Amino acid sequence: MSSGLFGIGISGMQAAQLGLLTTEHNVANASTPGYNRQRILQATNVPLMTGAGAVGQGTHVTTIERMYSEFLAGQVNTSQTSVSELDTYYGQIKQIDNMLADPNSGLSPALQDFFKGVQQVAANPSSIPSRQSMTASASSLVARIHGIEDRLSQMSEGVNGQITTTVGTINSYAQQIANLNERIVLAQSASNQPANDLVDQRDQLVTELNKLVKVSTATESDGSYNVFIGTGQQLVVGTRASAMTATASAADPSRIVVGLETAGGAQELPEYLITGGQLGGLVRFRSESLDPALNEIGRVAASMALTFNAQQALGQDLQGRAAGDTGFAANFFDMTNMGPSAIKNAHNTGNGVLQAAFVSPPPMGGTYTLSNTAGTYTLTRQSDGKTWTGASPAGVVDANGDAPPVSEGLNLAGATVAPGLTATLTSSTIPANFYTNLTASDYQLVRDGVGSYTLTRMSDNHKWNIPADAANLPGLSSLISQTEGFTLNLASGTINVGDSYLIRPSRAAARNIAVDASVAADARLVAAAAPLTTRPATGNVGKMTLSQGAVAPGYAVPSPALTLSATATQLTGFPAGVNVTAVYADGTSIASNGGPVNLVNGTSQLAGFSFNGMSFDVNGSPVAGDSFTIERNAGGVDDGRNIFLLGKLQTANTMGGRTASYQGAYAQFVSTIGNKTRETQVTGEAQQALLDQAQGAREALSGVNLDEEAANLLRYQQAYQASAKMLDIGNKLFDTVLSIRS
Amino acid sequence: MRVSTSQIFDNGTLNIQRNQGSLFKLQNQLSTGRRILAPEDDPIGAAEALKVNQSMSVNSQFMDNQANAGSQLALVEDHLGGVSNLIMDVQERVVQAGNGSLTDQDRATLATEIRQRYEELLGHANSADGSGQYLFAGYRGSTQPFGVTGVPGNRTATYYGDEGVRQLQVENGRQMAVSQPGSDIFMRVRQGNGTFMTGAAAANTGSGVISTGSVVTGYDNNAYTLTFTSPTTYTLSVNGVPEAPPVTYNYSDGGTINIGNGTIVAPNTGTNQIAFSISGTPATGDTFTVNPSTNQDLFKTLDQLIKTLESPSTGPTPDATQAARRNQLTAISDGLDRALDNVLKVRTDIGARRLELDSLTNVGQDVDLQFKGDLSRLQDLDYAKAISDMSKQQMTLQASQLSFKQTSQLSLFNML
Repeated sequence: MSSGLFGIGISGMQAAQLGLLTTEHNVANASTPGYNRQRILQATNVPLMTGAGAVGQGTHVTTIERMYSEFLAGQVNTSQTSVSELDTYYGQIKQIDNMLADPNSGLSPALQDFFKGVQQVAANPSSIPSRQSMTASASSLVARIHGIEDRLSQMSEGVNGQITTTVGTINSYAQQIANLNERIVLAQSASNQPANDLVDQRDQLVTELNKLVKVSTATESDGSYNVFIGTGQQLVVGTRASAMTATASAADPSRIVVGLETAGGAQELPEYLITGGQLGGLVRFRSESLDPALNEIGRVAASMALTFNAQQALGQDLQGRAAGDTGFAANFFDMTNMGPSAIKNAHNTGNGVLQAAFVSPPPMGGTYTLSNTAGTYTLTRQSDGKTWTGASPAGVVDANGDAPPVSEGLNLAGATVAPGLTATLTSSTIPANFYTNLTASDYQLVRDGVGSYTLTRMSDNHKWNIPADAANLPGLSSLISQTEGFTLNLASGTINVGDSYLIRPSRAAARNIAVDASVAADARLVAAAAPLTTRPATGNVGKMTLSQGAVAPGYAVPSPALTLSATATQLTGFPAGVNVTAVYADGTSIASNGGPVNLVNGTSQLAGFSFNGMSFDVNGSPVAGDSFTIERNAGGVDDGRNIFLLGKLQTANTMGGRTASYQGAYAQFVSTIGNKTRETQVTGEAQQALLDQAQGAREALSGVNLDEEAANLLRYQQAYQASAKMLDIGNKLFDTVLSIRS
Repeated sequence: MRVSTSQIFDNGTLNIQRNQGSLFKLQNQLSTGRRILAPEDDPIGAAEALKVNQSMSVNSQFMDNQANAGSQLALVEDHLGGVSNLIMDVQERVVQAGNGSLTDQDRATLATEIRQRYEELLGHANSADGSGQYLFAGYRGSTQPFGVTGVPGNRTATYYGDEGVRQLQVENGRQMAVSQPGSDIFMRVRQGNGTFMTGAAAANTGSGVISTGSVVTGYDNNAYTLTFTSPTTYTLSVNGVPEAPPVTYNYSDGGTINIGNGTIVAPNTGTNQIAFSISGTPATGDTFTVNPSTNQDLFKTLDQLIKTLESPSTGPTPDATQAARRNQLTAISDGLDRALDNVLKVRTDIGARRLELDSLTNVGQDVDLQFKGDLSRLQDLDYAKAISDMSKQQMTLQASQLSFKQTSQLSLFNML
């Protein structure tokens, strides 16, 4: 019986000792990350069945349990991965946001300074200092664009670097989890007790992994974890970890993408599979904000250079040189390296070399020609060659059956074109100048079948599909040239089924925009004047005035000078064989071959005429014998007609198919970045609150409270002391028995 | 609720950090005076501010251009004012020269003055602006627009400029002409009364003087010649063709002659009627003409005046000489009148434009103020609110620091 007393006392002491140990362990690990508090589970020993009933045999500790809820830990992990993703995203986009923060350092003031320079030349076209200040402000505008692009490119490089580092860390964690799996399985199978601290370590690794990329876990029957990323791609299975890879993308070698090491080599993971954590944040930031930002700044640069150059080409410089003359600078901005790029996918089996090029910007004032071939009327937009055909001038439609847009302001119903002739129509509603259709998106061209090419605009997944044969790539190219602002051309080789190309219309523009070297060196080359002028004869007595004239792309100013003479009813002297279009006050236009042009049509006065890309306004009527001369604008140093049009580009809607000005597009870009930054911050805060709650809930269950542990220390101490006292009592009882004997 | 010890520490520091973050941002806003520190603070406002900024800069550019246009126009106006004064002075001399009591010597003195005036006119016509660009050369600002060849009395002025009109953008959608080509002002001056011009043949021997004439109901652009068959009768030919059958009309000294639709008509009858008068006593064989107005440059007119004044009296009779001189002076005076009309028309135009500029500048200043207000509303900090936020935030931070300090000191271990 006394042995029972000792036994029970010892079992109590042992249990209390374990309790004390566990409490000490908790106190020691109070601030160990990922530590879940532990407690002992005590149970009674098997009682001794006697005639007097069941006699208790003391206690034993069945197990040391960690206070852990898989559900709460899962919630923490899910919130944590979102918070990490948003934090990373925010940290990155905040850099762009900060760069755009100062209203004095963005693109906007440089743009304004540049156009201020343009206006100064407009006010004083013959002043060399004004011209030099314009080219100087152009150079600083270019430098500002380079600065922004540089910063964004550096960030792109930075993202590449961070992806590589993060992937390295993920691989290391995966390996550690695999190792822990092995140790846990061994430990648990040996003792049949949970390996609490090892499991804690592994859970902590999963939490750390979730900070890098969102993973999901599944527990095997032997206690090991399987870890998956994306939609079930295996990262860790039992004791084996797969490696993630960070390699240059096949579609775009400048981009580091994430892949999984498989038996067949590294396999790129689609970006939508990489979610959560730092990696998710980086990948999402790159595709959602950084790429569009780079493209957008490029789009502004490309549109500006294209439209500015197109207008410059229509002018005449201070030395009287115009398009076609030796030494004339048709380009204000040097566009040599600004063009779109078409990157061949590394996995292509064909050797096709694809080239992309900008479409020359369409004039806003929509110059159109309307020709009549044996009763079939064809309306052609001069800028891009888009055509509408029909049996009457007013009935022309394009391939989709759509009439020319009303916004173009063409008076087709009033056009008279005899068979074999071509009339030039200009829009009445839109001012001069040019615009582009470029978008800020990348494009992908895939030959997805023997009979098909598909071009995808990646920003909104809009697709163009066209049956594939050699002749159809040009077809596709002409289709997109009217809406997307670039063309495609197979320079050499063949494109096999499955081959793809990444097309970046505007990315290179911001990096490579430059002021034309000859213009920068000699400001006289700024084409401020218009290349033509008109002059009434000194003896004219009629009231007709002829405007100084305007030119459209492809113009030809007559040389030697052309003299038009008035008869009582007509204007004669147009060059033979040239299509002359006369426009009357009521908007009617009449085409003729080499004139003469009637001064009155019905009751409507002649309001203007155009030929050879030149157009003139007419006011009042001449007297027979009056004459007018059209000639090159020799010596016109104070003419600011072209620089005036260049100046108008500042506020004209020159981008995105006449929807935004340069400044408007840039403001939109700033607002998009600002919105995205704010959105990321606000979502981040909300996620952080969720994480706080989840962590609070987990801590409430699993966290160590030192006051509680202090109480437990006292409790187990007293239990130990009580059990020890039992031994003392047992000993005294034994002594009592011994003393009876003596 | 069960609270773990690390939670107390973690949350305490987290809250202090958050409060510090808010305080830092407020401090930043207060020290820069900007409400929007980065576009994320107000993306729409930031974009709006960019647009307003551009509009403001464009507006200020327009105001610069307005000032520029104003000074250009003032310069042109000054010179044209000089030109109109000059023309009026010369007209006085023409009236003086018509006085029959002047001697050849007197006229020669007048001619000397007109020669000076000719040079002065040329000076105005070739005037340049502050940067050395010729005002009246059209687009050819660095080409001297007017050149003269020949000797006084037989000089030819040539215009080397072009017809370009320099324009400045002074407002959205308003381009203002700030120059006038010299050809418009000096070269293309309609002669006579602007529609037709009367004249007497140089070989006339009588003392008939023809008036400038006027349009009554219209002019048919025909050339008419009145040939005196006797001092009191004349016949008419139209475009060089004598009337058929010939009609002889009676001449009355100073009486109005009306021509309408190709013949002499009673006053105020029919369409295309013009009226003029001949006074004095024409000799048999004298002819007078009516022709559509042609253009002649102002320099030529002055030169003709010099020539007329310097021509000695060589007529068969003093009356005939005087009549010939008066006929020439009438034509010259008409030419000067038309030139003055021309200049005054341009000056009126310029005056109207300067007035417009004044009002545009007023509007521009108002708009500028408006933009500044908009920009301030978008970007500037509300200091009162920010300062009150700042003290609130300070209090919160202090409270969280103090409470953390006290909570973290509580531990059961302290009492064991």
